[in-house]
Amino acid sequence: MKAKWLLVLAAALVVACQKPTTPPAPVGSSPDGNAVASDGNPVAGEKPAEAGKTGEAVAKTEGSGGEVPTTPAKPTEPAVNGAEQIATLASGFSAEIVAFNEKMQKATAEERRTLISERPDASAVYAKIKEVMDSSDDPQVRLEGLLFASQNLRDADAVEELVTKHASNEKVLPLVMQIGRMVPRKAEGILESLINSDADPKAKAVGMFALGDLLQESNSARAEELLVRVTKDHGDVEIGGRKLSEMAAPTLFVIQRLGIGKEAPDIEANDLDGVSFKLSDYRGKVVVIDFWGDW
Amino acid sequence: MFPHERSLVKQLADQPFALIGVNSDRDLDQIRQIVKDKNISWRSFWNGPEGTGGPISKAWNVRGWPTIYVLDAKGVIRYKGVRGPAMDKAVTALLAEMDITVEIKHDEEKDTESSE
Repeated sequence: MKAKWLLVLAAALVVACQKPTTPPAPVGSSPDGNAVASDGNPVAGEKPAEAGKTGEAVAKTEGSGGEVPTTPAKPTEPAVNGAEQIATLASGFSAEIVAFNEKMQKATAEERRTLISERPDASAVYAKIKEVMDSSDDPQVRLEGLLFASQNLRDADAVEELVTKHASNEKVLPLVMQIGRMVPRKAEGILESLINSDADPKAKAVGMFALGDLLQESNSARAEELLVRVTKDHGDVEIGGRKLSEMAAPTLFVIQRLGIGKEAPDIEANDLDGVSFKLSDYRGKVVVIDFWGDW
Repeated sequence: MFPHERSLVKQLADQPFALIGVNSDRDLDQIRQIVKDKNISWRSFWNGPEGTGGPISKAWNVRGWPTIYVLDAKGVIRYKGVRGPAMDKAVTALLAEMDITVEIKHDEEKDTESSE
């Protein structure tokens, strides 16, 4: 139960951390703890669970003149462009997720069961983002919209379009790394087409790494081949400040040293009473190694 | 988890068999208490104060808990990720390779009920 919740939290944090680069409208806090925009109005999409249930809140904002409610543009500035509108919607959603997570963290297990239904609804926000996407032919607008759908809705079509057409974009590259977790069923096909495409070498190298990582259990021979190639030919390529060779090493170790039929690496460490012992002390016996914890 | 393993360890006490844990709890005092309370009779390495980020799980690239490996008498990895009946089967097969026949049986009520 606890572990499952941690996973939900981790996923939400990933979402919350992926804020767009465009600075969001200043967000403050109203006395009741809800996020508010600088003009004191609630940030759009607030309480989306309720909005989703009744359709009321969404309808109200849409009916109030067709303006995008989240970015109260200063009268002296021209209307915000599509990419900025999307960035604002996305950062508003991120702020909601952060607030929701804080609430969840403070709640008791019992309260969480009720609270979980109030989780900010990404699809309601995406519906608004889609309107912006549909009314613009700016490729940057489409890219931002697809990024939102990928990160928050794990939309397989959005992921596929981004990875196959925009893999070189610095915002898309991290997505290539996460693709196995985001769209597990389509990941292999998407990555194969990426590494066989004419994308730039860095994007293809990252794709190779991601595919190797993805296939480590289902096809360890292919995974090994890919990771050895990444290490040899593209080991110095960096993503998120880390070299691909460094990132491939643990998985290669698992394939080459921890595969079925390989001699287990020795372990030497203390037991729970502080007495040192070795795994190899148990040679001659059938040994079950259990990585466990009480949580 | 614990009841099944406790039963396995008890039944194979006289056989060339060992269950070795790698414990990834951060608090050593707390885990010692749990070992006592839950009657965990087998030996565990401690993964250190970094918990799941400790050196042993890092070296073995463990990404999920529990993670299970089964080694034969030569120290060769023969099975991964086997739990419950699959673990029993793996151990039985490896003991059979040593010409040792065992029949692992658990008391359904006591041994396989979840402790969580």
